[in-house]
Order: sequence, then structure tokens, then C-alpha cells
Amino acid sequence: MISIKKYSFYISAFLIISSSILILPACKKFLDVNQNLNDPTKVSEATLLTAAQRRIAGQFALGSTLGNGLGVYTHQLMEYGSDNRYGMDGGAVDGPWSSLYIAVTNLDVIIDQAVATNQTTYSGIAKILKAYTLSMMVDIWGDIPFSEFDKFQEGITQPKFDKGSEIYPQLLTMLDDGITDLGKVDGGIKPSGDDIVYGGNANKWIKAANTIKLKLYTQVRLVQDVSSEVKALLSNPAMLINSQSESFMFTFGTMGATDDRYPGYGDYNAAQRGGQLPSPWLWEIMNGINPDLYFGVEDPRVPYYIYKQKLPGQTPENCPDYRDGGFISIIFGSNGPCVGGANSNSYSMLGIYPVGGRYDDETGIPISATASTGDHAAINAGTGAAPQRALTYADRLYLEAELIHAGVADGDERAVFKAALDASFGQVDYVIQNYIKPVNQTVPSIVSLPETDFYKTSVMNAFDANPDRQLEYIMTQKWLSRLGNSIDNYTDYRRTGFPVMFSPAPVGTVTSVKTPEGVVVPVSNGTAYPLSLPFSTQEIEINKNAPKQKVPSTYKVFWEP
Amino acid sequence: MRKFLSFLAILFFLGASGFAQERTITGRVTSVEGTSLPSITVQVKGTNIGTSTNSRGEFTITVSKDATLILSGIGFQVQEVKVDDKTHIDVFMQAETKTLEQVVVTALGIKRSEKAIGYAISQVKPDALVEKSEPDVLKNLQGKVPGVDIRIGQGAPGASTRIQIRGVSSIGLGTQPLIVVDGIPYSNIEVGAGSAFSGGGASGTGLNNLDVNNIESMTILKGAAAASLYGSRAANGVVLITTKSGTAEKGAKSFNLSYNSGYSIEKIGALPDFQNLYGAGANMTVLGANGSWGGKFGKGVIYNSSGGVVRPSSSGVDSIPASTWSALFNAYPELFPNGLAPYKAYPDNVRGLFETGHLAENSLNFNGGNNQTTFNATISNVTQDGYIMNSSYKKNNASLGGQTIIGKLTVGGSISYAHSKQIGGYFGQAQSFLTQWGRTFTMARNWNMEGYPITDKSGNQIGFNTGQYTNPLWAAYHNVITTEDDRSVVNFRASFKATKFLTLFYTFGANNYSLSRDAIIDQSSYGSSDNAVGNITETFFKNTDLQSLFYATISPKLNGNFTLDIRVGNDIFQRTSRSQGYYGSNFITPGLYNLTNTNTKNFTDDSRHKRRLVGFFSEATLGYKGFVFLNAAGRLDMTSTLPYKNSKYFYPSVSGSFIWSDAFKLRNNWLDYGKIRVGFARAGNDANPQNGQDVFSLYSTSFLGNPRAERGGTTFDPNLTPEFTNELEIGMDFQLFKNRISAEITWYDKKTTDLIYPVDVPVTTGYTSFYTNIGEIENKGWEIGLDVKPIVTRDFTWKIHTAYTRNTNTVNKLVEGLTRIAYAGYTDFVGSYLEPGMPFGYFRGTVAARYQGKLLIDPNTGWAVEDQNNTYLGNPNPKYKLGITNEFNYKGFHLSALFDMTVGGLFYSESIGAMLGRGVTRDNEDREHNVVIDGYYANMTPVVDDKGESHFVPLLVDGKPVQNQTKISVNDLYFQPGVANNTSFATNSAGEYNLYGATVYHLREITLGYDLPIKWITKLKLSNINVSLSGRNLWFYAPDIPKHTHHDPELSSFGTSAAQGYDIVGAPAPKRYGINLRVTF
Repeated sequence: MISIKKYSFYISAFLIISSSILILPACKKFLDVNQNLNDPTKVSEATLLTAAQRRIAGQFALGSTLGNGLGVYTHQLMEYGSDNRYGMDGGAVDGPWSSLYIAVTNLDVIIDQAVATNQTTYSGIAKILKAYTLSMMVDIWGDIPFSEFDKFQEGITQPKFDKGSEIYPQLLTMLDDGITDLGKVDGGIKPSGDDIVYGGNANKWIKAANTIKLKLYTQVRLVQDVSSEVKALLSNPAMLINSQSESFMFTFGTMGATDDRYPGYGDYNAAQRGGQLPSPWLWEIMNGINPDLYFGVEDPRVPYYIYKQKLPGQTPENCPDYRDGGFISIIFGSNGPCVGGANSNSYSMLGIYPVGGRYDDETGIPISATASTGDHAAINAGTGAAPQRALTYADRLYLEAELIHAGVADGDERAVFKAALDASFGQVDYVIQNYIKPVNQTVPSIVSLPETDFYKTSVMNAFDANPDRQLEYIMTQKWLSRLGNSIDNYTDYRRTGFPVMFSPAPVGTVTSVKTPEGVVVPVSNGTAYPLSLPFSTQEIEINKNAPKQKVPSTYKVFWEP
Repeated sequence: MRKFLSFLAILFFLGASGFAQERTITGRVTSVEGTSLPSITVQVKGTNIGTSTNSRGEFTITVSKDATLILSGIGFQVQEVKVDDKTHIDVFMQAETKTLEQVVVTALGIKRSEKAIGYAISQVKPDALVEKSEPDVLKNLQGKVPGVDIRIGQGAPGASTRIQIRGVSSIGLGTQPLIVVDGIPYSNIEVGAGSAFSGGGASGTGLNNLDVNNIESMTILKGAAAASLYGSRAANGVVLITTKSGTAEKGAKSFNLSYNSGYSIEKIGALPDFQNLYGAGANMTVLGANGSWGGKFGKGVIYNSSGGVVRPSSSGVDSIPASTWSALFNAYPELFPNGLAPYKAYPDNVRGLFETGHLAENSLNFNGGNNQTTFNATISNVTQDGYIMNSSYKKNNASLGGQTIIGKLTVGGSISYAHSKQIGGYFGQAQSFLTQWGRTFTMARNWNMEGYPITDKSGNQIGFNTGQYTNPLWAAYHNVITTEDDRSVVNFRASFKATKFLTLFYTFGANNYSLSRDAIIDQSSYGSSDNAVGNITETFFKNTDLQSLFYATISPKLNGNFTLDIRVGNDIFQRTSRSQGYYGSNFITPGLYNLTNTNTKNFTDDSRHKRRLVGFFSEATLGYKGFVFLNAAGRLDMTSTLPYKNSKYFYPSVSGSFIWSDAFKLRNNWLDYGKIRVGFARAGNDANPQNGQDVFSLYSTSFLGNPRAERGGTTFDPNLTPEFTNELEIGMDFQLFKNRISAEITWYDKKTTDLIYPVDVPVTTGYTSFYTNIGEIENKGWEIGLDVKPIVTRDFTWKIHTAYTRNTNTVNKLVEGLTRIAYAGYTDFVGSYLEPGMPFGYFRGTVAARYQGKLLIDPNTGWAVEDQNNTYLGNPNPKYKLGITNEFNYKGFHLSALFDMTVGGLFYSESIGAMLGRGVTRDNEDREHNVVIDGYYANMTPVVDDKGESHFVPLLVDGKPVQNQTKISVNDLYFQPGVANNTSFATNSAGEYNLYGATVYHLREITLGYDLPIKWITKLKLSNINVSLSGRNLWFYAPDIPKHTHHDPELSSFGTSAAQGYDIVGAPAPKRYGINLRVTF
């Protein structure tokens, strides 16, 4: 006992030291528990493609920041907020800026993976989508990071901004690369349902790529001679989007186990509305009220475009800022006493065609987020399965009409314009019947309506009677047809100045508006028209190579005259 | 529970049987002047049996005949008294003059002489925690400990409390201190329930599981020097808690039973002063709006829907068309017989939305044993119903511990179990559409929720402006979060006294925490399509900590005047966690809330985390003649969470103390004790687990049937290194005038370098964040604890305890290329930022444009113009905090009152902004006139300055700015309907106008207690009976907020998060009044 006592200090010291020696070498294995157990380190191209396409479509669709904001800027939509005074600021575009760049990053991942494994269908589609998305971003912001984009692993933490004029030619090359990839024999793995645009149809992608090229050349035609390029493209119409079924559109779904619906349908579920109203300006042009444009001619697309929650004479919740019969909305720049009144169940809403909502059968039944007594419940008011119409057959024909009118391309301007007009109406039926597929109401085919023929005839008569306004009519019909693609409307307006809008009048010159019901509403327009959108605040706050925030009313995109 | 009680009964008989020949004696302890001395420890020599004196200085204890009592107390000489045959003992204690052998608990639970400590630590006595009508351990510490900043979050039952020791010293890792209970880490996790901004619950933290009644002692190790033996986890300080079941202490008899009971009622802390002159409307026009800016009540007219007067009212009561409340009118036209609704004030329409809450606490403690073996068991229950409708918190605790001595070996262990259930609603801004708080304070003055149905005939939620806000009465019972958690802790310990100078210690602990939560958003909720059809989010979380700790203490006998104390040890720690989230939406059958009853289901989370840490440590303390001590320590950590090449790191600490009063023999009539201490330490900290490799993230839902994935937004630095905290602290302690004044003063400077943080990178790099080392943060401050005893007489004493905390928290450096970090916050409207040279988390956001100090005014509207660039708005950190406790003792009566204050700093308040913007309080009652904002007209086309920033400039006429003359209404002054580049002064304003001064003075707690005289209660075979009355949060004053809002700046929506200073419409702290009873048998 005594001896143990005597030596126990040494025994203990030995135990401590020896256990330390034993523990130390075992540590590397013991400590090697830091692998991520929750997320994959590699995924298939298919999962990336769906995600990227859904992101891109979601950022350009109605119901998104850009879709609604630029819808207001181009007077198709109206909202209660700062957009209706051209007030979108750098903070407002943080979301779309980062979301679009994330989408392009993932397209880069697809390209890298697909090139390494020779999956050329994937790489081709990804290149075309990347070029399309970046071209839209140039159109919105002017100058954006391109050459130093997605190079963090190469040490670039503060990408510089490239000039739009330097990016565009590279995008055209990228489109050609995509077309080349799609022409190759691929490694065997082809997209199908994961491609929400064409279901993996390489031919249609090639046509889309060529049509995107046509669009880009058209957009730069005021600053550069593009006649040989567009003539080459137009000489082979079969290689362009050449029918309704070849339109470049992103599919959305109906309500289901997952919410696949078109973002703009979200307003049907909203309790508080006023963020994406059809504008009085659009209403007046479509109803023949505007004295300068198609006066007295009613557009049969109205019930497809706009759903009125009220009938004439029904009382709204609050006094309306703008009312014409059942149509209730807000005036651009309104300072009226009723502009702030809550009218969620009285405001007119975007209808079946733009957002997959409800065809207006003139019943005056409000849409409510929940099924309140007597209302249409959002859950079955419509299907919400509107596609994002990125570049349609009609759009392609309008491009062609514009190019012929401008003398850049050859052809029969009137015939092409007429074809575009026909395609615009055909597109309404095509989209409703093949995508939206209404279930709880019967929707008439628009092309078979007698009013449609009358309207088209009136439009063509006006076209023939006013040779000096032909470009205006082309662009106005394109604008009317293209409800749902606000970014391209914004681009075309900045390029051509059409359609004529209410508010680009010099700052402060319009002070009031008289509604069709005779109410005089004070308005103010304190801000000059923005020639591009401000840069993302998030980006310029942390990227020291970013330019300073721009003044949107003076910062032009390179293709602006 | 029944089984547990019978188990305790068995223990009782086992314990009681062996001690029949012992007897109970009583005693009274006074100073030589005759003053009764409370809180004197009375211990039977050579045993763990002990008690302490009550406020009368009385005690009772069970002893054997030959026992000796040791009496000790701070500031008094230790005294030994032989019991012999006496049944009553009177003891006179001599004030301590020669040596002060106060023993304190330090790292690893090691008890050491206070003199030998070279750094600041604070001890909290358990009686500071109980009988205060507050079951939350941390809330009870508020204002009592210098250097410790306690912030109350939401006033909902079971909500978390934030503790911060010496400022925020880490930004990407945890900022809460390490909690160590009975030697093993106690995970203090806050599993958040949604976002404070968009609608989330007032979640609690793991520490809520602790039973206040089971706490034996609490020590706060503030600095790195004190905490460095705990290694990486202790970079934010340590709260060291010893539970009754985790110690071998036992009470005055061989078997002791005590019972604590408390009952309180609670009410909302404060309500605004509402105006009762104007109802819903805008700019003096009666309309169906959310703001109370409509026409004046009492005009005796009937309005139409546009606010026009139709005719005089025959009843004299103003009326509006019932269709203004369209959903209500459509659902129940019979409630509005003539299609009209009254337009008049309901002064109590907000008060009626709150209830009187109840809090009941009951606890039973048993302890006993003999000289070799002791045991301790506690069971407790807390039942609380909050003042918020349908909010409650229930907690049950049971713990059992024991220890036995077998020769040189001491073996002990404890086991404890806690279960709690919290029910509560959602919080967050009005527009979250879930919360009962959205419009509670801004309810239009003519809305009377309680008078009308809350659902339509098909069961859907309705209100006054349906769709604009959530009906609070409906939300309270339909949008509900229920959280249950379980905690079990098992602890085994052994010590072996190998030789006179070598002792070995070993502790093994397992701490298991699990949580389950159902967050229900019922059908007909607003805000999203899923809310409309109802949804449920279920969260399961499990965390298991395992800790093995071994150390040896070596205290060799040295010759002469030196003492030496050495410790060497190893600890191994593993934490594994698992969390799962399920989401289901669209309830199939209304009223049944589970996943099976939903149409759409998906997983939102399924993740595991594991981390391991191995540490080796050693320390040595060298003493010379009992007045100089030098301590040196070092620790080597090896972590699983850093790249292997950087995973081993060593850090040292050194501290010393010098008792100058002893060294220079300076003790005299007025100086009792003087000590200076200096400590320097470095502490490392590792990264969060599973942050080492780039991954892809999978979406929780497919799109059109296709699974989706994206590259993860974060990329990781392969050269990540540990964070290091370097801290220097210097302090002095002294006692004067026979302990009438004692003080401890500490100054510290703490720098944390190589901060680990997922820093935002431009999305154009292909990533959104980079997990790396990014900078340096510094905390400098003063902590002062001052105790003064102005009056000490035989029957009456008055003591003042003061705790002063001043901390300056600054970001020193960020890595090259990083100007600032958006740390948390709203949008770029107001956010918390980190920037070199700036206060931690300073507010940055939007401001009004100014020229020569005057506001610029939009000539089109008359409103102020918002500047185009974000800028510094203010500092959210307080200048200092001060808590003052006054204690009075008079013949068994004990009165204590804690008054605390937080001075300086700003906070963002959406609550106040909304109240002003909606015109509901008396702050902007005076409104029947127009105003002209003092300022110059702006040129509304901004100009780019030489830095490339665009700014608004004044409109110049003949080169001079023009004074604004455009009139606007008072309504518009506070509420501006979203005009680009314009700002109001409350709603839709520049960020600067939603910041308010956070200075606040609180009367935090008052307790009046009475100890029954011991001679009465010994007849009842009882040891002590104490009855007390208590009040909490009885009064506050915040000088810098709009007066009539009565809003408490202490409210924080962010729980334990490091970002503080945000009130996103949350629940203020409750006021409580309680009665408590404590009986010791």
C-alpha cells in the first residue's frame, strides 16, 4: 500500500503522458468528420437545366420585379407604389440581378460538365440560354460583368463591368456555338421533360437561336449596319421560329402538388392587390377610347387580357382612382384622393391570356384568395399555367416587318405585318388551348369571332391610310400582342419611341387626367424617363470594380440612338 | 412522475434510518455590534452538511453531539464553535481584518482563493435567481453583474433572452457564452421559428430547460484569461453553473426538504396613449383605410363611401356605409340593419386584445445523507399563461444527484430531465399577414374587434379591412406555433486523491436535447397562396453533446514562502445534431393540423452535423507569501472543423495578482483589503462544422415533375485559420471602512482577429458568399461592481449593490477589398453593417437629402426628398448599462429593489413608425392644420458629384436656394404613399426616421420578503419559512421615444442573434406581481 502511494504520482504522470501519445496519432482519423453529409457534390445536367430555366422565366415573367416594374414603365400595367413614377431603384433590382446571374452561373456549370462528357445537346441549349439571358440583361442595364463573370476560382473577386457593345458580338458567337453543338452527335444523354422550353427538341432550339440572333440584330440596327446579317437569316425562314408551335416559351404548370404556376397568377392568391393592375392606358387603347389610336375600335382581346371584378354600377370597397364601367384601376403618377384606397376585390385583374387567370365572362364576380361566399376562389378561378412568352412566332414576324419598314431587309411590309397580326390572335388561342387549358369555364376561340376580323380589318385600314405612322402601328400591335414580356417592350420602346405613352411628356407638363366617367384626377410626373435600370445596390456596394450608381434617365444602352 | 416520487421516498428512508441519535439545534449569528448577519454559511466540520442564516441571522441545523460548526461569511473571520450539549448557540462574528479567504469557483469548477485570481469573475448567489416572479435564469441576472449585458427579446412566455459578455467578439460563429453545467457543456441552442421580419415565433433557447430552483451556484468567467481552459468554445466567456444535484452539498439535517412556491399575474408592460378623436380615413376624409387619419368623431352625420356627408344622423351617432367593411358586411348583413356602421371611438379597442396572464412556480427539493454519502433531488414545475392571447409556457424538471466517498475515491453523478411546451403566435411586421401583432397597436380608432365576428359563415377569417391585416383575435387561435423540447443530462464524475499532492479528476457527460415544433398557418390566412389554403411546418431537432474531461492536480509542497499548483488535462468533445423539416399545405379537413391532412407535402430540411474537438491543457499557479500569485496556462486544440493543416492550434494565457494591502502591510482603520490583477490571454475558436467543400443544393420541390439543383452559393477557403481572441485585462479590488465599501474595477481590451465569416461576394463572381477569415473586431470596456453599506445597525441594514458595464465594440479591420459587410437587417432602408473604424453593427440606410443642414423638398409634392445614397445612421450599442440594487433588512423583513438603465444607442422601431404613420396615438393628435417643412426646394433631377455619386441639389433661382412654401397635411407628414424619392417622417420614410434613442430606465424588480422567527417555526418542526411579494418590470421611462407611444426600447425581435436593435412589431415585456413562499422542513 505504501509503495503504491509513493509511486502513484509517477504512475499517474505516466498514464497522462502515454494516453496523450496514444491519442495524438489517432486524431487525424478521429477529427476527419467534416464532410458535408447533406448536400451532393455533383448533380446531373438535367436537374441544373430545369432550375436555371425556371429561374430565368421567373425573373422575366409578369408577377416578378422586372415583369411588373417594366410593365408599368411601358404602361401596360399599373401599380400603387414608386414604379408608377419610374422610381425603381438599385435596391429594387437586387433580386433580379442576382437571380439572373445565379441562373447563368448554373448554365456555366452545365456547359463545363457537358463539354467534359460530350453531352452536346445540353451544352448547346445552355449556351443559347446563356446568350439569351445575358442579352436581356444588357438590354436592361447596359453594361454588366461578362468577361470576368464566374471566375472566382481563378482569383477574380471583383469582376469588372464590360460595355454592352462589346458583349453583344460575343453573345452572337455564343449562339452560333450553341447551334454548332446542337448539330453534333451527342454523348447519349439528351434532355427531355427537364427542358421546360422545347422538351429537348434540338431543332426547335436551333430555330430559337437564329430568331434570337434576328432580334439582337434588329435591336442594334440604329447603331450598326446589320442588313447582310438579317438578310441571311430571313432568307431561310425554315431555320427561324416559323409556326406557333415553335415559339420560344417557358412552360409553367397548373396548381398541383408543387406550385408550378405562372408567377403573375400570384395576384389571384393575394389578399392585398394593387401591384399588377392592367393600366388605364392599355384599357383606353384596347377599347377605342384613345383619340389618337384606333379610336372607336374595340379590341376583342380585352376579355382575354383583363378580368373585371365589378360590373358597371357595382360599388367598390373604396372610391376608385380610375373607373370606366366595370374597369377599375390606378392612373400613372396619380395624386388623386382615392389612389390609396384598398380595392383588392374591386380592381380589374390580368386575365386568362397573360397570367392563366380568368376569362372575363362579364359576371362581375370577385376573385378571392380564400373562397369567401359568392367569390371565385383563387384555387379554381384559373389554372395559372400561362407560359412565359419569350420570343413567339408573332414576335418574329413583327421583327421582320420592322426590318422591312426600316429598309434593312427586303419583303412585303404589309403582308408581313398582316401575318404578324394574324399570328398575334392565333397565339391567344394557341396558348389558351395548349398551355393554359381552362377547366372551370368555356373560353371561345378568338380567331373565330367576327369582332376579330373587324378589328384586324380596321387595323390594316389604319395602316394603309397613314403611311407615316406605319412603324408606330407595327410597334403598337407588337406591344399589344406581347403582354407578358415587359423587358422586350421596354427595349423596343427605347429604340423606336413606340407605342406612344402617356408619361414621357416632359417632366411636369401633365398635371391632370380626366377619366371616361368625367372625374378629373391630379397627376404628377416628376421623373424623366429611365433609359436603363439602375445597377443592383448589392453589387455596387461590394464590387469595387463596379461603376458608381447611374442616373437612369441619362444612362443609355449602347443600341439606343 | 409517480415512480420517481416513490424512488425518492425510498431514498428518504435510507437516508433517515442511520442518523437517529442526532439532534437539531438553533442559533443566531450577529456581528460584535449586535447586527443580525444573514447569509452566513454554517457547516458541520468534516462533512458536507451545511446551511446558511436567514435574514434575522438565525439558523437551525442537525448535528451529532461532538460536532463542531464552522461559520464563514464574506468579510468575516471564519469561526469554529463546538456544539457540545447546547441546543441554542449565539455566535458573534469578527469582521475580517487579517486574511480574506474568499473562495471562488473558476474554470473546470476548481475552487480557488479569491486572492490568487488574476482576472475578473462574478459569482451569483442562487437567492438572486429565485422568488423574483421570473422563471428565466438569464432575465434574473439583468442589472446585477458588471460586464454582462442581458437583453430581453419578445415578451412572450418562453421566449429567448440574450446574454453577451464583454461585447460581440465573433461575427460568424456563436456570440453567446459557453454554458457549463456541472462540468459539461450545456447546448444553448435557439432553433428559430421563421424570420423576425416576415413572421416568426418567439423561440426560446436551450438554457430555458434549466431549473432555477436547482441552481446551487453560478459563476461568470468574463474574460479569456478566466475561460481559456475551456478552449475554443469559450471565446465569448463562460457561465458556470453548479446544480444542487450536481454537488455534494446537503442541508442542515440528515434529511432536508424544502418547498418553494410562487404565483404571479402578468399584464402588458405598457400601452400607448391613443387619440380618440379621429377614425379610419386619410387626410381628414372618412374612408375605409388602415390609418386613423379620417374625419373627427361626433359631427352627427352619415358619410358615404367617398367620405362625403350624405345627411345628418338621426341618432346623432356618426355612421359610415357598412360596405366599407366589405367582408364583414357581405358575411353578416344582418349586423348592419340599415347598411350603416357606427363611426366613433373605442378607447379600449387595443387594451381588450390583451389578457391577464398567470405564472405559477412550484418546486420541491430533497437532500440528505451522511458524512460519506449525500444525495439531492429536485422536482419543479412552471406553468405560465402570457398576457398575449393563447400564449403559454409549461416546464417540468426533475433531477437527482449523489456522491459517495470510498477511501481516496469520490464517485458522484447526476441525472436530470426537463420537458417544456411553449405555445405562441407569430411576430413580425404588419405585412407578414400571419401575426396577431400586425395592426394591434395601429387598429383604427373606430374598430372594435371584440364586437364583431372573426370568421364568415364558411369559417374564413374576416376583419375590418379584410386582406389588409390579420385579425388579431383570429390569429391568436389559428396561427399558432407549438414547441416542445426535452433535455436529459447524465453526468458521471470521479476523483482520486492519489497522494497528498496529486489528485485525479474525471468527468463524463452526455447532454441530449431534442425539439419538435408545429407551426400552423390556418386556412384563410393572408400573404401567399399557401397561407390561404393553410399550411403546417414541422421541425424536429436533436443535439447530442458528449464530453470526456480528465485532469490531474499536482500541488507539491515547496519550501518556504512558495506555493505551487499545477493542472494537466485532456478533454474530448463531440457534438452531433440532426434536423428535419416537413412542410404541408392545403388542409384537407379544416381544423385538423397534421401533415397527413394536407394535400401537398415536402421536406424542407434534412441535415446532420458533427464536430469533434480534442484539447490538451495545463496550467500552473505559483504563489509567494500569500500576496503574489502568478498563473500561466496553455491549451492545444485540435478541431474537426478547420482544414487539417490548420486544425491544431495552441494558445497561452498568463495572469497575476498582487495583494498590496498585505504586501506593504497597509491595513488600517479604513483600508481592509487591496489587490491589483493583470491578465493576458489568447483563445482560439474554430469554424462551424461542414463548411469545407463546395456543394450543390437541391430544391425541396420539383418543377413540372423535374427535380432541381443549383450550385451552392458559398465557396470555402481552403486555407481557413482559427479565430483568435487576445485580451488584456487589468483590475483592482478593494475594501474600505470595515467592509462598508467594497469595489471591483476592471478594464479590458479584447481583440478578435481572423474572424471567420461567410462574406458576401458579388454574385457576378459565380458565388454569393465566401467562407473565410475576414477581419478584426475589438471590445474595450470598464466593469465596475460597487457595494456600499450606508447603514448597519442591530436591527436595520441598508446595502447598495451597483453593477456598471461599459463596452465599446468596434470593427478594426476587414480584409483587402472589403469595404463593409451588410450584417443583418431590413433592406438597404435600414441595416446593420460592419465597417472598419465603425461601431459594431452600426445602422446604415437611407436619409433625407439636405443642403446646408436643411432638408430638400420636392417642389411637386412638398414632401422631403430622400438622398440617393445610403449612409451612416447611428450606433445601436449603448454607452453604458447600470444596475442599482438597494437592499433593506429590518427584523426579518427584507426589501430589495433593482433599478437599471441602459444609456445611449439607437434602435429601429417599426412599432413606433407604424403608430405615428397610422395616426393612432396622441403624439399627432393635433392635426387639423397644414404644415410647411422647413427646407429648400430640390431640383428633382439628381446631379453626379465628383465621387461619381448622384445627389439631389437645391433648385437655384438667381444662384440662391428657395425656401419651401408648399403646404402638406399632418397626415402626409407621417405617412407618404410611396412617391419615388420622397420621404415622410414615419411610414414610407427614409431609414433615419425610424430610428429612436434607446435610452431606458427600468424599475426592474422589487421584492419584499419576511422570514418567520425561528422560534415559531421550530415548533412546527420546520427550519425556515419565508414569504415574499415581488414585482417585475413595474415602471420604465424612455426619454427619446415619441412620448405617447410608451414603447419600451428594450424589445428586440432578434432573440439571441448578434444583430440587435430591431423592433419589428413585437411583444413588450410583461409586468408581473407575485407572491412567493419558501418552506424548509
